[in-house]
This record gives sequence, C-alpha cells and structure tokens, in this order.
Amino acid sequence: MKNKNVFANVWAQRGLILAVLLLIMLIGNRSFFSLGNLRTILMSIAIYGIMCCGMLLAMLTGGIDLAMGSTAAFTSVICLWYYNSHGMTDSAFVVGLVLAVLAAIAVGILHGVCDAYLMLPSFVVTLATGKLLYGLASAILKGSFIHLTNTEGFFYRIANSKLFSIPMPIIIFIVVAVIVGLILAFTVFGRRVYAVGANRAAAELVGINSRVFRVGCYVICSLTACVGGIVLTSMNYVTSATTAQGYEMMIMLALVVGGADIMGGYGDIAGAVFGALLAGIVENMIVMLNINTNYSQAVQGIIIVLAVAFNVYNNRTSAGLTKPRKKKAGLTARKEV
Amino acid sequence: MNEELILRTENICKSFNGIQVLKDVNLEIRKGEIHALMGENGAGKSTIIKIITGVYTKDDGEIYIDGKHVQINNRHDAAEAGVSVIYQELSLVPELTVAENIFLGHEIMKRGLPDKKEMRRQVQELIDRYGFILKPDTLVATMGMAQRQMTEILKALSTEAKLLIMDEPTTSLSASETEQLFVTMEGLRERGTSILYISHRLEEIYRVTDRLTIMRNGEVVGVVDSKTVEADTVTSMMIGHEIEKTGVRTPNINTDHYIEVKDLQLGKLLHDINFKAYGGEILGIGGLVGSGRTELVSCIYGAIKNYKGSITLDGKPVSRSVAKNIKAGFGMVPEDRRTEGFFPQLSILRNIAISSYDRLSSGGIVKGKDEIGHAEKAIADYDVRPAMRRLPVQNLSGGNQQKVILARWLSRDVDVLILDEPTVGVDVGVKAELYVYMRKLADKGAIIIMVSSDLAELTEVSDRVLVLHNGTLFQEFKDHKATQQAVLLASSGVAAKEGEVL
Repeated sequence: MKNKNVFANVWAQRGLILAVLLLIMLIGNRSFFSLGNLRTILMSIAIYGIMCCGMLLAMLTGGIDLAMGSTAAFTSVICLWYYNSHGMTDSAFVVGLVLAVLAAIAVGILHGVCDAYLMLPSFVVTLATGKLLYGLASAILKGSFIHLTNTEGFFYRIANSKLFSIPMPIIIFIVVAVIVGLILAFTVFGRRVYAVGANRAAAELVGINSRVFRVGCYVICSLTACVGGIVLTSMNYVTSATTAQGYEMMIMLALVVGGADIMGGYGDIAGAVFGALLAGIVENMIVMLNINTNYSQAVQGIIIVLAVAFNVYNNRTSAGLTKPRKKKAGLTARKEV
Repeated sequence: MNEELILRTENICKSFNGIQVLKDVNLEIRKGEIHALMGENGAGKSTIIKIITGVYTKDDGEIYIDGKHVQINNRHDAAEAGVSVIYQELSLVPELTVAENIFLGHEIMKRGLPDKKEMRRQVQELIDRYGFILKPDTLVATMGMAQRQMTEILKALSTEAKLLIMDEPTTSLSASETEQLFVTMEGLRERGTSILYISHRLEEIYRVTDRLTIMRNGEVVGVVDSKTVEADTVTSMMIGHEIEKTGVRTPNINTDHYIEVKDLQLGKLLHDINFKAYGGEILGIGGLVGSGRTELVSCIYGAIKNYKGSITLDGKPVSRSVAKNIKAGFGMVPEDRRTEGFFPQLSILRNIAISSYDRLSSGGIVKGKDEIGHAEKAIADYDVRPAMRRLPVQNLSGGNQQKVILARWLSRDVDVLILDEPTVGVDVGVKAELYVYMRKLADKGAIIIMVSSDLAELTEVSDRVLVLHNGTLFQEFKDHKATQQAVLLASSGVAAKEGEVL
C-alpha cells in the first residue's frame, strides 16, 4: 500500500522537475517549443539515451565507464575511416560497422578485465583508456576530421530517415531502451546483474560468477557507445576524435538524476530514460536562453546539481521503501533494523 | 555499590511514520555498574540508544545525566554530556595506528602539524591507566577484533566518557577474546565508568553484568538483578510467553548418504582433516574463530577451490564450483549475512529467488508468476516478517534477514545445507524457529553442517559435534555427548574425557 504511494511520488517529482523546466522556457523563450527545436532536443535525447542504457548496466554492477565519449569517437572514426576510404558504398559501411563493433567489444573487455580481474579502480582505468582511445582516434585521422559528402546510402539514412514519421535516432533509442529494459526486468541475466551490484560476495555464494557479469556489462556499455557514436556521426555527417567528447559526464549525471546508485545494485531503465530526457532538455535550454557562453557551463552545472540534490533528497525522505541507500544511517530516520 | 544514577530517562517516547516504537521508556543506570539491556529485535533497544546518543531526537520525555537535565539533539551533545557508544561495526580507520585513531578529528597540533609525540604519550598514559594490552603505534589493520574493540573503548575513554554504551560487542569475538573484553569491562567498572551492555547472549549477561533491563514492543517490561534472575524468566519476559524447550532429537541417520572429507589440506589453515557428515543428522563444527571452521565449510561448498585432498558426496567427487554444487542441491548460509549473505537493497522476493532461477526460468526468461509464487510460499513457510515481498531486505530485523537467507535454500529443498554462525544477532524467538526449520530439513534426510561459536546452540542443536583446533580436527562428540564445557576446552586444545580424541 505504502509502496504504491511512494512509487507515484517518484514520478510526480520527476514530472514536477520537467514542468518547472518547461515553465522556465515558456517564459524565457517560446521558440524552445518550435518543431525544429523540439526535433533537435529529441535527437540529443536519443544519443544520450542510447548511451545511458549501456552505462546503466555498467553502473548496476558497480562499475563506471568514463571512456564512453572516447569510445563513441574511436568506434565511429574506425567505421567512417573504412567507409570513406573504400568508396562510401553500403558494403563498405557494413564492414566498417563490423570493425567498429569489434573495437567496442575489445574496449569493453579491456575495461571489464581491468576492473573485475585485475581489481583496478574503474574510475582511473576508464579515464585513462578514454585518453588512449582519443589518442588513437586522433592518430587514425592524423589530427584531422572526416567530412562526408554523399547524402545517399545506408549510413546517411541512419539519422536522416523516419519510420512511422518518427526520426530514426529516436526509433533506435526506443529499441535499445526496450531491449535493455526487457533484459533487466524479465531475464535471469537481469536479476543477476542487480545481485552482483548489490553484493558481489553474496552473488558468488549463490553461484553467480560476478566477474563475468561485470565484463559483460562493460561490453554492452561500450557497444551502446559505438551505436551512439555512429548515430551521432550520421546526424552531423562529420566525425573527429572529439566526437561525443564529455558525453560520459552528462550520461553519468543523467543516470544519477534518474535514481541509479553509483555503487551499484539500484537503478532502472525508466530512470535512465528520464535522465536522458532531462540532459537533452537542459543542454538545449542553455542555448535557447541565450545565456552568455562564458556562463553556460556554470549554469548547466548548477541545474544538474539542483536536479541531483532534489532527487537524492526525495529518495532519502521516502527512505526505505523505494530507494534504500547503503550505510547512510543518521541521514535517514529509518526504523530500527 | 554507588546508588547515584549516571543516566536516567523519563518517559521517552518516539514514533516513526505514526508507528510508536518507544512508549514511556524509563531507564536507570547507576554509577559504576554494568547494566544490560535485552529485548527481541525490534523491541526498541537500538532506538532508545540512538536517542541517548543523539542520532535520533525524542518526541517526548527527559534525559538526566549525572543528575543534570540535558538536551541531546545531536551526537556532539551526547559526547559533551559524557555518553560514548561503541557500535557493532567499528569505526576505526585500519590504515592508521591506535594513537592516530584515538585522536582522529581532534589531533593535538603543534606549529600547524599534528604533534605525534604528545599524542602517543597521552595514549600510552591512557593505556597504562586502564591496564589495556595495546601499543599506541600498532597499525589497526594488523590487530584482531578484540584489540580493535579495546582501541574503540580507549577512544571513548579519551573523551572522558562517563557512560559507555556497547552494542553487541562480542558478535565478532572468539571465546577467549570475549573473556578478555569482560576483564576490561570489569576493570572499567572498578574505576567508576558505567557501561550499558546490549547483548542477545544470556550467558554473557550472567557473566559480566549487574542489573538487567528488559524491553518488549517499545516498553520496559522489567528491571532485574542479573546475577540471580532465572534464564526462563528473562526469555519469557522478552517474548511475552514461555518458549518451548528444543529438547533432544533422535536423528534418523542414513549412512548411505554422506559427505566425506579425506586428507583435506588448505595452505597452513587446515590439515589432516577426515570426517563424514551423514544424511539426517545435524553435524556441529565448533572451535575458536580462526581455527579454520569457515574455511573448512567453504571448501566443501566450493567457495574455496585450491584445497588438497578429496571431498565426495555419496562417493562421487564434489565440484569446486559453487554454481555446480548448488545445482546438485547444496546451499550455504554464510558467516556474515551483511557482507556475504543478503543483497541489502534488493527485495525479499529477489533475495529468496536468486538461488532458484534454474527452476523459475526457461530459456533465460524469468517466469514471473512462478517467481512470485515461490517467494510468497517461502515467506509464508518461514514466517518472514513483514510478509511484504517487495520490501528491501535491509529494512528487516536481523532475525528476519536470516530467515530470508535460510528460505533461499529451504525453498528449493536443498540436500546439503551448510550454516556458518546461523543465529548471530538473532533474538531467542527467531532462533528457536530457525532450529525447527533445520531439524525439519534433517528429518527429510538432508545433510546439515553447522558451524557455531554459540556453545549452547552447538551442544543442543547438533546431533554430533566436531571441534577444530589450529586447523585440524581435535575432538569428536557423538550422540549428544557434547557439553558446553567440554567443547570450550577442546576448542582451546584440551581434550575432555567424554569425547574420543581423533
């Protein structure tokens, strides 16, 4: 009975945050609601959303991937480099895509092995591999960028076509979110992902090989970075080593806003989608409000901190039933345990 | 004894979300006494302590310390008033030394830098004054649990604590370490420090405390002299009715169904271990903490893989993979439920079902209805309270958390169940229930191996007891011949007459 109330509250709160932002825009700049701008927002939500789905899995198992932006850049550069140097045919794109996917899998395995087997802190490792991948992408492009010219073929259509009059990136985002959501909600794999994140030692003692799960989740995370990177490239029609740079921070913050626990074991797809929604809107708001570019980063930071604080605060006041937190005694007036 | 009161609470009340958890609690602790506080999980012990120490604020009532009316609104107020608490989970920083830990947060500074020499000197003085066996420069990480606890006590004393609150300090201590702690406590009492001692273990209450306050459902139901009170009186006051005696069980042993451990060796921890555990019996394993008990059962379960020797089930080798063993009917209730047992933020349902997806899924997809049915049945069968399958397990009491872990295995009809300290931090009422479930499982012919430091539990619940000492089997007690005294002696390497020396 109590459960339902609290559940409703979480969504009421999320709705409230969105309503406030939209209200600001209603006053601030109505062209925010123009069809063209809404389309822009949806596109960036789609990119963030796709990558959020992957990062969610990594975070659920207690990991973090700060190389996500670089992975997106690296894999899209590989794909585009092959595509560009082999006549920009559809078959060249498919080969390039396969190469990119393989690269993403390799990156994911590298992250997973460093974290789960070599016990290196994932923050540091992924920060370092992020630099590495950025460097490799720069090296492949010799510091330049690839600007595509043809507006035909499969690759162009990824971001520039519609299905049931919905832009393709949104469709891809929905498909990725639904797949990850279904995996988390209905498969044994999903159940075990949560278990590994909630308590690794206990997971081992119920026969779950926690390391394999952690590596697996890093691989999925890198794969979504690859998908996100290629969709983004198709959208911009240009790629360089700085493609998607800094996205990992927005994604991480989006997930935290969406209620995921950075220590693992807590979070869901609905929260991730909400977080991506917020990230896309906030990013666009800054531009639309014509905030001096000198301050825009700071404003973005403040909005995110407020949203996170609101979210975390609410989780604490509704302590216990919806979002229990680890060892935060004293902050929550919990009943005697 | 000094009749002056160090602590008096008057009609303390507290509610959470409209549920009253404390009702007019009056607690009186005299100067220089060790005062015990007992009650089932959820009786309100922790809440009253958290109010005295400023973690929670009271809704109503007054607190007097040393005769003075005090307002305690936060931890700082409590420390000012002279109340210090030592929690179950110690708060020491392992990477620092004893002296550094004691002065953590209020270091003595000299020219802007911590004056290590002076701090060391002061700590040494404290150690000398109270006669502790500690050195100021020892790294906490290298110390045993008992020494860590002493450091924690010393830390409390360094702030001039008049009242020391100890919340189940012995749960992670071995028998000899516990004794060491008691001696320390008695020393403190002689110097006039009062101690409020919370424990589930009656023998400790008898051993070390002077008076005993018993709580039930948020109320104080009695204050008795703990040297003279009958155990039955205490337990019936705690639970509100008499508990049934467990009594001696006649096991129906099936010698064709067994686990055999042959020449087991694990580094320097275990050596020359040979024994059989039979279907239908509860085999108890005793010994001190560190004698290799946990390692032994972890080898059997497959959680430790690099052992030498053989472990077989009915003549066939037991796998070194936990997953394979679980499929073959194994189950394990680990020593520390918090770090190895349950998934704190996951629901009761997920915690129970996690071991049984081989049955509750097909093709990797969870069969939702089966999963809910499985968990609901387990919650009902093993009386998990509250019976809300969506509640995170961390919100349950210790006893109910343990029931959830036990239900995880019992609900899938395990054939080999390994229990490591199954009733630590579990109150008497739930304890008795857990024993009933274990016995029922044994009656079905399962092999049950139970490691325990609780001598009463080991001698009463087990049908046969093996005692480990320094990594090897020291003594075997058959047919309920184990007495607490004999097991204790064997644990420290002294063979008693009743048993047969291996």
